[in-house]
Amino acid sequence: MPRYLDFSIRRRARFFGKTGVCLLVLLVAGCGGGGGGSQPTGSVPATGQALASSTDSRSLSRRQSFSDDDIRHFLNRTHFSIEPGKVESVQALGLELYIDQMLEYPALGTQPYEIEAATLLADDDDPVDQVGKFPGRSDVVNWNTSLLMTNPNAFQEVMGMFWQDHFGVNVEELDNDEHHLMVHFVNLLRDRGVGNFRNLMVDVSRHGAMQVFLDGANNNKFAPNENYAREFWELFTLGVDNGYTENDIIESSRAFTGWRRQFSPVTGLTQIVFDPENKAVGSKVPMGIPIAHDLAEDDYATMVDLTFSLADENGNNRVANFLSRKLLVYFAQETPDQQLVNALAAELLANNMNLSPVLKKLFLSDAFYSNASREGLVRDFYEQVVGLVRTTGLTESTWVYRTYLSNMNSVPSQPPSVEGWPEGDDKINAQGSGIELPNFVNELLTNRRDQNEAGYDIGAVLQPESATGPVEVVDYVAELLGVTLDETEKAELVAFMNVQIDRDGEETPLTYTPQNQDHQNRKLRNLLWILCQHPSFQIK
Amino acid sequence: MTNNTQGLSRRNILKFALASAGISALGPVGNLAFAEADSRKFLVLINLDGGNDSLNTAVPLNKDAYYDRRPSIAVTNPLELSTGPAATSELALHPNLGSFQELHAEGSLALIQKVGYPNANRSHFTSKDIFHTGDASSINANDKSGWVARYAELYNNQTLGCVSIGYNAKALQSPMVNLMQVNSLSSMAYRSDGSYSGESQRRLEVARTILDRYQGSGNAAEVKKALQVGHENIDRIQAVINNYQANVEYPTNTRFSRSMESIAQLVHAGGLGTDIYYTGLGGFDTHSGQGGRHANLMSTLNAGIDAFSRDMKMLGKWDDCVIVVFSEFGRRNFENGSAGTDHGMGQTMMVTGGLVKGGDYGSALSDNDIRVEQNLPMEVDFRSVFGEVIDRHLAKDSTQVFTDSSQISGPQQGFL
Repeated sequence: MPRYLDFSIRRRARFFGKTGVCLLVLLVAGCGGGGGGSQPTGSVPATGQALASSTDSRSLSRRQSFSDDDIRHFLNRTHFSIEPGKVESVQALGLELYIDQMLEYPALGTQPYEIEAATLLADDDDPVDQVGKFPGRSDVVNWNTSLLMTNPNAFQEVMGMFWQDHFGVNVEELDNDEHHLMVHFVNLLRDRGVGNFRNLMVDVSRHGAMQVFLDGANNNKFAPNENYAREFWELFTLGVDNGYTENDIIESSRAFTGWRRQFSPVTGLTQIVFDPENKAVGSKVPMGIPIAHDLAEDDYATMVDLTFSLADENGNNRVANFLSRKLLVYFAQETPDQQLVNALAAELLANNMNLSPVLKKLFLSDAFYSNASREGLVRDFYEQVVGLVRTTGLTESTWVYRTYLSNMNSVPSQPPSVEGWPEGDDKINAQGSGIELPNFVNELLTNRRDQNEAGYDIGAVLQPESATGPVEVVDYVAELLGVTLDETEKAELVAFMNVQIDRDGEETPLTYTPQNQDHQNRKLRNLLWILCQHPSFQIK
Repeated sequence: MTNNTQGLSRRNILKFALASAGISALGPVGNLAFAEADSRKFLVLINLDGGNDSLNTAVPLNKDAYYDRRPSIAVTNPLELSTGPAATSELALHPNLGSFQELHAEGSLALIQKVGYPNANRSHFTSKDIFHTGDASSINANDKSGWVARYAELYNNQTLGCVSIGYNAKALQSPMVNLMQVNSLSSMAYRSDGSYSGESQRRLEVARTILDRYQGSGNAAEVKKALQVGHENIDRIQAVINNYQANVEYPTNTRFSRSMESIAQLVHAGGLGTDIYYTGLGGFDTHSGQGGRHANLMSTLNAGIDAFSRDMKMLGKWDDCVIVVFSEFGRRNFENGSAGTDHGMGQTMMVTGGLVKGGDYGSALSDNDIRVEQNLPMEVDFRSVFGEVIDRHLAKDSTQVFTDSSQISGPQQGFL
């Protein structure tokens, strides 16, 4: 294990156990590491804007040095949360080297946490050669949630969720014999998250889960539906009304034909296969660009390359600008300046749409650490849940995770719409009155029996070894959770730590002692609860 | 007696906890005085998310074009609307909309045809933004206020003045208001740590104290606002739930019906001063295999409306209630090769309530409207429909709510 992945999962109690089954290694056929596949074949016009910027918030120039506060900002935006010891280990390695390692994924399905998570997909009744191929929807969610909580390289899962948000495929739209497609799809996004966007777009377009979700698998060559054609441009590559017309959508819907379901009575599984007989006959002319009829293959790659070659009236590549803005909104700034968008788009183009070097450039840039980027972004509820488990090591059952995530409509593998999860104000309002988070934290805090059986020691995880009193403990837990406290708030919390309240409300002065287990159960756990109600906990 | 950190006596702490904590484990909140048991008029907005196929909802009768252009998905056995004061031979209803048929027979279901807005946009998200903001230029509505929020700011600016339940509605969003939006009322209770219940009380008090003092900016300030809505109302909501006695049985198998029951719970409690309730159901983006999917959605809609309308009648609140059912757009006149329909334009909106004058509104669909055109025409602006409810039912001025001048011109329909 690389040095930076030093927060051992052995410290945490995990309760993902299901019936004992063979280990399952999930592999995405034809998918390599982060780079992924061949280069794009379409011609890609350069962006028309200069890279350089006179202000930090718009500049991709490399930041000279990185303080602990910078590292915390970086981790908050890219890792669900800050795990104990993480800031120190990143500093020890150096941020640039850490990012290099973070962007280098191991071969899919080979890691212990993946093998453990895969058991959640399996059932005792599965045929020996198809273990894990028939998961229920809940199993897929449990498996995906487990990956988010246990992957030592949290960024890989963050990036996988970025793409889930981007493509919006929801396992609820797939039938039982198609759930294996969702597992494959999630793995595709996890594996290729920092690879080549053009190649990812081609493979996602053809993927069985997407074909089912947006009705490509139900298409008809004589009167194709427009579902995928519209969202391909509107949500995945260009943005709403960005250079295409309703007639273009009709033409492109003809190009996105040729695939259909194929159920195998032998395996009991449905695959989505290319069938030339299902492809619309004749040439198609989306965006005024003719695509000659060719029965030998589909037009999907052609559609992607055609789209990736489009420039706006200023000569800027539309797809590069679209994706750059989305990356910036997700990781850096809610409303990025167009100059920064252009600069990142230029990096994407210079790297032939390979994301890894572009993300590295962003995460080391002045812009990423500027005041504009430090304006808080709202954390999704699933990020709060996953982050809490990763940071504290407190665990609950898969049922509890799924129940709370479902209550908040913030479920991995189940984006609430093809648009993904809500953003900005929508996200705040979707998270509503804030009842679910404290109740979820309460579940974590009160699951003492399972945690004790697993040898979990909350005092060791949530307190510095040197702590002698509540002041150090309050500071430490607040920093771990990314909660910013002023002096009045700290005083309030220290006072809370130094009083015992009995069942009938009777108060007794207490001298909080970090090593005292009763104090930990009574006060430290509830300190965590209070800090999770702080508005800054929902901000990253 | 030991004082706590706020200088309150223990007795005060308990009083505070009982009055505000709403922790079920601490015992019943008791019979809090509800808001005035008034005859407040209220509006329930039901958003059919995804673009409802209104041609298969309010089915045109005696139009060959409808069957010609929908050979596999046309509704062949619609429910006729041939009885009652609003009897019509122009329209019928999807066979799973039996309760709507009954409401029509009672003369309290208005079907408003050809509703839309200028320069229709067939993007779900742009069109939803337009419906939520009431502003037809809302390509990106994040910087625009929702129309329900504007109403609240003008006429009922308190956290329960307008609420959404089970549906995340941009219509309620604005920096100028702070309205309650919840996924479910039933979850509006804090769980406590049974081993340390006294600590659970205190942690809530401390969290609230810190929240009240918090001086964050940007998104953190917005989060604070949302959290405060919960803290402000959780005790009242808990009391509502504890005191609720159902008149009718709501189906429990759909989120929509549970949301309708939650709205009913608030109405039972005297309304808590709420003018507008917003909810919805999703799944209407029926590009393929529409028949069964749409039929199920119609059943879900029907079951929720059936229970709610009966409940309101038994409660004597039906005359105070107007329900508007709408979607971000209608769908194409013709089916595609996947036995579904793609995004369209015009739609038929449905309005019901005790004082609604049932009937068909807007000009009747012609055979050519369906046969020649790809989409239903748009002759009635959706804002004039909402506006009529604001003006004539809620007795407020809709021109202050809908200020976008680019509306389809025409008089209000007169269904109220």
